Amino acid sequence: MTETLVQDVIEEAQNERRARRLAVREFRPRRALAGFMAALLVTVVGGVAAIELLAAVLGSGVHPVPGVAEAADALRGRAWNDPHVLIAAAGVAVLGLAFLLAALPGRLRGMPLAGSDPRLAGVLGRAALRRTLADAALGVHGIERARVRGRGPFRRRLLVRAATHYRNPANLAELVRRAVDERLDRIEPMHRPDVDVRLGWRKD
Amino acid sequence: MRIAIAATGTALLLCGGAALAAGLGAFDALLALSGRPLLDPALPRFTEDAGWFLPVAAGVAEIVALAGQLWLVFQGRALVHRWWPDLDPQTRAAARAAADDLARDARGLPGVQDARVRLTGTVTRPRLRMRVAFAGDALVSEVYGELGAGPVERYRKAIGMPDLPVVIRFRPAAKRG
Repeated sequence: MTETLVQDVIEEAQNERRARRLAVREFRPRRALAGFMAALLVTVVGGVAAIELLAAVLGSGVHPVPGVAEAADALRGRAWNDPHVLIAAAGVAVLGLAFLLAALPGRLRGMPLAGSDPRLAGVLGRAALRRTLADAALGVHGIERARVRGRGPFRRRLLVRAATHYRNPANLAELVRRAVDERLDRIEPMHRPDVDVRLGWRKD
Repeated sequence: MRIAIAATGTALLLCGGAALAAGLGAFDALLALSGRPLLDPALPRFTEDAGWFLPVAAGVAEIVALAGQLWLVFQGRALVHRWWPDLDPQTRAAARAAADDLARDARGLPGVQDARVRLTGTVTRPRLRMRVAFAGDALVSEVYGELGAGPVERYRKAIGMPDLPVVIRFRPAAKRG
């Protein structure tokens, strides 16, 4: 009996871990544009180099790819310390750095939902999460405007900015926090974010 | 994909950095390179002396070009399979019928206003993608659990893929009026 219970607990933990792994794999940014640009660059540079080098191997005196003859003349006429060459080299290095940054994992495209089925991954998009939490804050009596800002590289918490027309807000900030917490309970994210509430009120 | 992008980025960064360093005279103590032309007249002499160099360089360039083309083809294939799954006609027909049932069952759950279903991928890497629009105060966690336990499981059985990974995106439904 105890053994079965322990096995169940272990299995549940394993399933949760696998579900988390599936969610991370599915909702990690795909970097499709960076991938396409890099593949195109590799194909074009490799292709042009291959054609030119094969022509040179076969002893052909001409450059088969249009524009390469002019480029070769320009390369013969410029030294390594030529300002144009330095700018081009810096450009290539910056492009490389951009590709390297694009290869970093990045933030997930939304907030994965908690679950223990390793074949199932659910997500609420970032904009959808902001919208639904702002909607919850607006449900508090006396709140006129509400905006939610998501977590960023320098902010680990969700920030709810709400405004009321009341002159004395009393415990409205607490009520807004409770409403947002309640909405998060209904969503049940995989990693529950901390929430900051900033309330503005009439000062006249 | 990420590793290939990182490899391309590393190669470009190393080439650009090395060219920049050469231009700024970092290697002058060894080769006095900064004042010399990019296509050095010594290069044709070297290629004439070392007969192996050009064929090897051409071979390497061919391999790089081929790898780039394959990478493009894989990306295009993945993009196409997101819309048109690479499955046999019977599975596709069964999936169409099961998708209608799944969408109908999902719409029947409390708080769900709309549900769309699409089977994507290939026989070896299939995916079921669902989009679910919910009313603002719906119990999303409960809908998610119910979907996984009932309708999605029936869908898997109907198309004969018991391990089919399912990806569900939730969004709040647009308010009417």
